[in-house]
Amino acid sequence: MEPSLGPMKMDRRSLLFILRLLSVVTLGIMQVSGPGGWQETPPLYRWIMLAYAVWVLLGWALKPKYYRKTTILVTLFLVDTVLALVLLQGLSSLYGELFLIYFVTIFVAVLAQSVSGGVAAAVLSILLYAFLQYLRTGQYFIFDADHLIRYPFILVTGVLCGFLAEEGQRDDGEKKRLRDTTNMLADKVDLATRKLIESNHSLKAMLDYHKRILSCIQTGIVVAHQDGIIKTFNDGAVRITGYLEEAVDNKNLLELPERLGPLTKALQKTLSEGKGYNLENLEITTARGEVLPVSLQTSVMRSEEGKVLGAIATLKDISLLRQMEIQLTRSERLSALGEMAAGVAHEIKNPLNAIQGFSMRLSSKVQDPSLKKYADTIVQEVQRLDTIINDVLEYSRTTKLSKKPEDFQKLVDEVVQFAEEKFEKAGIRIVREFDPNLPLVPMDYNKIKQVILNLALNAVHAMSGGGTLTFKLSVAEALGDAETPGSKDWVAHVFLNQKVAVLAITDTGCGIAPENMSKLFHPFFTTKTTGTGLGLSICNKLIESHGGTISVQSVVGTGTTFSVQLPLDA
Amino acid sequence: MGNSSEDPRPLVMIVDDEPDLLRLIEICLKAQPIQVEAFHEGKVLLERLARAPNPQLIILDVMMPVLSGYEVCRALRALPGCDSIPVVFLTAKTQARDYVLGLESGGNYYIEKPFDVEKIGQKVLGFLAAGKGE
Repeated sequence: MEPSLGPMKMDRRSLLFILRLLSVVTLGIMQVSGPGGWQETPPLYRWIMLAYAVWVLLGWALKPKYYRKTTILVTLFLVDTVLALVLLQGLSSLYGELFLIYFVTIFVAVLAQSVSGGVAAAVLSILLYAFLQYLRTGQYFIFDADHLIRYPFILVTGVLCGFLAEEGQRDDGEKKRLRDTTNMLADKVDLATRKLIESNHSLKAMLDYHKRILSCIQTGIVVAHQDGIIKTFNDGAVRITGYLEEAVDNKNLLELPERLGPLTKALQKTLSEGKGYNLENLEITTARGEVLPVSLQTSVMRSEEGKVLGAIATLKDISLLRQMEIQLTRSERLSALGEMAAGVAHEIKNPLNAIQGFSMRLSSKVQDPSLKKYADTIVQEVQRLDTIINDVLEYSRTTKLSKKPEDFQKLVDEVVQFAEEKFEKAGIRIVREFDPNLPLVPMDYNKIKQVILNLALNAVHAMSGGGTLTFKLSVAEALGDAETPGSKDWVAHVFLNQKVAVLAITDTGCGIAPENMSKLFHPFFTTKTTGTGLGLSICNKLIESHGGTISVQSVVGTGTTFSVQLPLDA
Repeated sequence: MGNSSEDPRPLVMIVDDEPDLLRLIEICLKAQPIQVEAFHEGKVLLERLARAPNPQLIILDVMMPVLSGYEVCRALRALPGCDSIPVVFLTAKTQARDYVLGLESGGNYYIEKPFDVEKIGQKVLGFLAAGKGE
């Protein structure tokens, strides 16, 4: 940021160089135009002349900073003076001495850089001139009229050169001061600019930071200014209401869609009455047309002086909470039912044992084949009842898990191997798609094996004409986007951002009718002619006790996929 | 029916309460390079295993008096040296629940009756080979 001081700036080196060059040139002209001319000049003086010229040129080669050193300047002056003196002596000219005197005057005055210095230089020069004249003639001409006339000129030259040098120096000083001031100002402007940029960056970062906070909060936040204009409608609000920020931002509360009525009214009331509200169990209709249970809190935004600046509303989607409440109620009911069933089952098992034992005894005693057949039928039916009771007991039993990290691939292989014969007989081709990077999965090995076998056997049942059964093992972010037992979405919320191991068992069977999808995991629901209808309920219970889920997707006539998700960090 | 320790053929033990069926399976297996020991009930098998747990495969019927095939399987898994012997259930029980019980009790294979007489020998050889592979 060094400001330019213009093309006319002449530093001390240049000034001195010009003066010294003029001196060399003048002495040269004097030699050439002297009585004998250049030819008559003795060779020694020619060489001295040449040396003087080289000396002056060498002076030019010196860097400007050396011209600030007194020793350098004095050396230059002394050497110049001696050389010029010798040359003038050689030229034997009165005018030559006069030239020397002027040279000395100018030189010293410029060096002194002041009027007083110029006067001193002039006096010194006059004395030198008188001395030279004395040396030449042996007489003093100081008061000679011929010479007296020259003294004022020498004096004027000295004063003028001193004055000009002083002015030049002052000018330089001014320029330097100006330059320093300019530099200082430039530094200050630089600093201020840097601070401004930094402050701008900080502001932007802070703004971005607050925007990000607003954007990441799951809760919907809506801010209306005192004039009713919506100034903030965060991503949470967009997610909950389904309305885009652009459709709401900078709109007046009165212009908001009618579906957002409860929100609009709460904000208006808060603005007009200057107090917040806490409204639970409201319902809003989203842009998608869904009726969503929400809770809404409003608060007043005030200035330091207490003036109402606006109103803030926080909106929470409580559908998950509602679903969980329903789920809990259902679980409690089922649990009570299970306990009752278990009690009844235990009571029934004893008389059943007696019936089975006596029937077997009867079967071995009676000779009549038809009576024996009846007795055998009783035994078979009792065995069937026993199976049902065992299933009920299994379903209602509190599941105690012995979880440890297990190899899920090995488990699937063992299940496939166990039922291999059945797959083969049913004309089912087995496909395995295993993610090689699947880590060990925390589970109760035998319980999960039981679940997978159940699902695989269900698939066999669905593929009466044969087909393909695919076992696909992978790692995924939990997403419960398919039909899940109980409710549709709440499992997805529970698992949000959690890594899970997913086993998808896909058959190419007949598929499941849409009306049966929601009942699949209900106890005693079955589409088979045999079985208790507790298989999938037990599977679901076992997977839930692992903190996992079973979901199902099915297309009638194409096939079904049961997906078992088990959390990896359980 | 004896077992020689020098005999290089693998030893398979079968348990079924139906003598005719037991005989049939024995014949099918003996047609292969397999030594066979047959038992009419699970209790006898368990006593035999307690003395020398040396078979390479055990085939169990499920519906048997005294001890069911599942119970025998659970009991033999508790015997020293028997926890890794492959067990095949050969049974007329075909419900999913039966499969689950078989798997739960520690079985490795499940074959439904009636079985293919022509293929059972080869199948058992396959199980033996898979067991060796493990």
